[in-house]
Formats: sequence, C-alpha cells, structure tokens
Amino acid sequence: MADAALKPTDLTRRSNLYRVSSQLGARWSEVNGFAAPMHYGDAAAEAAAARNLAIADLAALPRAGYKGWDMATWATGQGVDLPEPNRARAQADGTLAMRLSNGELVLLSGDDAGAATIDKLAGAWSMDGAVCFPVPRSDTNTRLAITGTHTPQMMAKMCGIDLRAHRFENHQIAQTSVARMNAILVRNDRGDTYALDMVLDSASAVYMWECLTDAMAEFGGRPVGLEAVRALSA
Amino acid sequence: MKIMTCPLNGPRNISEFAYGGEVKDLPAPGCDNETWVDYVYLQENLAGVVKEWWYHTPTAFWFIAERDTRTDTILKTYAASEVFKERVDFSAGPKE
Repeated sequence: MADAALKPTDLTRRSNLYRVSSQLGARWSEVNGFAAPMHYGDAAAEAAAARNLAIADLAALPRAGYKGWDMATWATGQGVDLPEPNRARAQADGTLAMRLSNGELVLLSGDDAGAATIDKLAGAWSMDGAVCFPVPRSDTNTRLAITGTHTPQMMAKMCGIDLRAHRFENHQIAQTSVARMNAILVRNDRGDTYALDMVLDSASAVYMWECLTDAMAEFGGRPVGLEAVRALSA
Repeated sequence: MKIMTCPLNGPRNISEFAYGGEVKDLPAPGCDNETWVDYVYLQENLAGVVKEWWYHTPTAFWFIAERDTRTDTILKTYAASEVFKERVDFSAGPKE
C-alpha cells in the first residue's frame, strides 16, 4: 500500500526517475530504502495497461552482479541454480539469476523485493581467493519493467532483436542496443502476461523512459506503479 | 543493415560491434623495440582472409572474426578462448 505522506526526497536512496514519477502523480511506498512508485492514482487503468502495454520503474528492487573466470563454481557453491549463458532461471526465493556469459551473473529480486539470495552472496563474497568480483549493478544500473501483450510490437520500433513471444522464450536474455543504448533485456513473464525486464545505465534512465513512453503511446501504453506489476503475478 | 554473428549472443546488427585490430602473435617477453613497435603500431592490411578482433559493445565481449577484406564478407566468428587457452607468463621481464 502507498504511504500518502511519503515523498521520494524523504529517503536517501532515489530512483533516477523519481522526478518523472513525481510529475506523473506517483504515490510512494518505502521499498529497500527507496521510495518506490506504487501507483499513479488510477489503479483500474494501470491494471488494464499492465496487460496491454505498460512501463514501470523497478529501480528500488534489489539487484547484484558478479563477474570472473570461475564465477559459476563460486555461485553454484553458494546455492545458485545457474542456467546456461544468455538464459535466466528463477530461484526458490523468487530471485531471477541471469547468466550473461560463462563468467557473468546478474541477480534481480522478485517484484516483492525479496533479497535472500542477493544478501547471501553479498555476505559470502570476500577478496580472499576470489575467482569473481562484484559488479555494482545496484548503483550504476537501473531496472525497468515493460509488460503486456503489445510489448514485442512496441520494442520492434527501437530494438533489432525479434522479441515476439514465439521467438523469444521466457527467461531468454538479449544483451543488445535499445534506442541506441546498450541494455540487457530478459523476458520475465508475470503470470500469463508477457513482460520484459530491462537493466540499463542508471544515468540514462530518463532518456530511456522518454523513448519508451513515446514508443508505447500508439498502443495505448502508460506508466504503471509496482502494485500493477505485482498484481499480474497474483 | 549488415549482420554479424557474435559467438556469445548470436546474429546482431553490425552497429553493435566495434573493430579491434588484427589478431597477431604476442612477441616473446624481452624482445627488441622494433618487434614491439611492429606488434603495437603496424598492421598487415592484407587483401584476403584476415583474423581480426571484434567487440560486442552491449556485452563487452571480445571475440575473433575471420573476414575476407576483398569482399568484406565475414566468414566465421569464434570465442577468443578457442585460440588463447593459456595465460601469458610475463615473469621473464624486459631484456637488459
């Protein structure tokens, strides 16, 4: 539930998009030390948009990265169920383990912000005998969700990869160029709704948000809060 | 748009890649300056099939491509680990 009194500037951790969300009339709730936009004032319209076409700022959700020649041995030893490169696999706690290459892993929390796997790895890693090193995904990267059945059509306007549902399977990863910016896309369906999570440079989040909202206008897409994204999986 | 096949990511638009120069054998540690100059600055610039370093920018992934410079056709691409299988030992140090 959104906290009516909470403002994003009340907290020290802020999404790069907090000004954009404020202008859109976001109602906030504290998630992982951030004020996360829970909804924009019209729950029914957002729930419908999330199934059709919607964008959500998931910057508040925990994420982490590890890279190194023997990352796989280390991460598997910590209990991570690793997929093959350019695939993702959901862990028992809802964390999505994205394997970008043989030696690189990105962890995205579930929409509930549960960080059990991320916290476990952060606690286990040390310099001594390290075969991989942490990548500051939570700071230098941010995360957006694009949900709804029109997502592949909209993305075709700004990305060269065929993201249609029958060509781009759930939990497949595309590390590619979106709107002329490097981005990591992972198909991460919510319930039976097609959805992509995008991990991108945090400093370019406002640019990407504007590109996406412009591209989704012709399909009736709109920004939605975290509540609408969570509701898709409920 | 030209398409190149990245060994890690599959076929992608050529605009996602950056050229990284010819693949050459590293000179032996302690070799003379002329050999290093040749290695670092001078290119063969061959008309024919060449081995080149290419970089997939969104993934920061370096790999090797074999390309025919006469037709600008990419013949094959593969991971650098297929060629460079061992760590280079620099402990021999520079030649006095």
